[in-house]
Amino acid sequence: MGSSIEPIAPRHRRSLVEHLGRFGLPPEIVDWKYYGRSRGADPTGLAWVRDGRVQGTVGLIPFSVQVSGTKLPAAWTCDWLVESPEANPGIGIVLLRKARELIDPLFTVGGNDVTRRLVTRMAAATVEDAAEEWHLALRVGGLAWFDGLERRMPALARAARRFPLVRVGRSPGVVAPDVRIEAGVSAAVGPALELRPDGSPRPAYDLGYLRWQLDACPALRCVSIYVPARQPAAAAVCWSLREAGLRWRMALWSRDPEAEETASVLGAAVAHVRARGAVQLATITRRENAAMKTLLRRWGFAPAPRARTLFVLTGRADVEALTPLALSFLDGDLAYRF
Amino acid sequence: MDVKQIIAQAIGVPIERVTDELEYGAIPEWDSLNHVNLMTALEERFCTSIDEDLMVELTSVRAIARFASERDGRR
Repeated sequence: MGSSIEPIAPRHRRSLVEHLGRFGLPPEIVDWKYYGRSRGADPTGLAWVRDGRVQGTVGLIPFSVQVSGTKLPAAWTCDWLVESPEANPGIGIVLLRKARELIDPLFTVGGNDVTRRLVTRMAAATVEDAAEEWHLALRVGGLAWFDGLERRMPALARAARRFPLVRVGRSPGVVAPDVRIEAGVSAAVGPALELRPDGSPRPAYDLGYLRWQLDACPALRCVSIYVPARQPAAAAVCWSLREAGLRWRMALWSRDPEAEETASVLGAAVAHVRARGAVQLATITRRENAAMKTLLRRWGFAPAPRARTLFVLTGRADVEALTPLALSFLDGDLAYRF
Repeated sequence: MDVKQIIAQAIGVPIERVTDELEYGAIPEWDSLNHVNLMTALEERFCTSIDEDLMVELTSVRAIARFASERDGRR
């Protein structure tokens, strides 16, 4: 029986679960990622099927990218995986090229060394360190050096992880009376998704996208934080793993990082996650977003060592208009990969 | 252009490095991306289509030489 490359469909489900399971994805995550979206005809990926079995994939997470006044269909890639790649040369490349025939542009953020070595040569644009991760340590377990302690002295680390940190000169964060916190992705966050303080190209995520990424993901729990207003000036969603989620992540939308509403939302986010035992709150901001970085520093966030590279795969001539793309933990499948 | 020239050009190495024993993965230059580029070059040279099943078979100079010989024999 010959092999073929096919759009991922319900008939692939059992084999897809087996294939991605070999790379560490639990069945419920596969179901959510590939069969859990109510997006009509949007493709969720391509599979290389041989001998009746899925042996290679490239996942697609469709979204729209806002460039000036236009929304372009685009997709993040994920789960770019081939079984026994040394015996199946070129399959991964063909999968990615065929994915780009389905949706153009494609965006990839991060990736391992193999991905980076190959995709750099395929990409129309590569933006090194495009996405900066910023961490706020709320307890000892959230400090940058703690991972090393966990490896060397796990018992001590377990005992010390939840010790609170004293934030000298910094607000502990409070939930101001005008701030609302709701479980899940609230409809009230919707208007804030349109906020664009600096006009850079950005993923035009909608409530459906956020609800799929966060509410529908079986691994996560999330809250929405916002100031009710007809024209919201700031909003955030914060989430963690359902099981033992000591690390939290945040996506923050703001018309003006220096505005009072932004500080209110950020302060409420810090207070909320701290009250739930968080050791760390993390967010991603675009390297060029100086105003947001100033705000984060003021709140005690520090840049994490890891910065992620953005790759743009496209045949479009206007590739420069697509970068730099405003980035967050909602990109690709970063949200659940703690 | 003979097969070794096609391989050398596609994977970006001097033709002297394309020995009869050379195969995919043996040198850094013959990686998966250059392997696909090589398949495209063979498709153009022999006016044929190489599907994924054939692509994962044509992984050595000898295999490609056999393929080329068969294609040339059909012309």
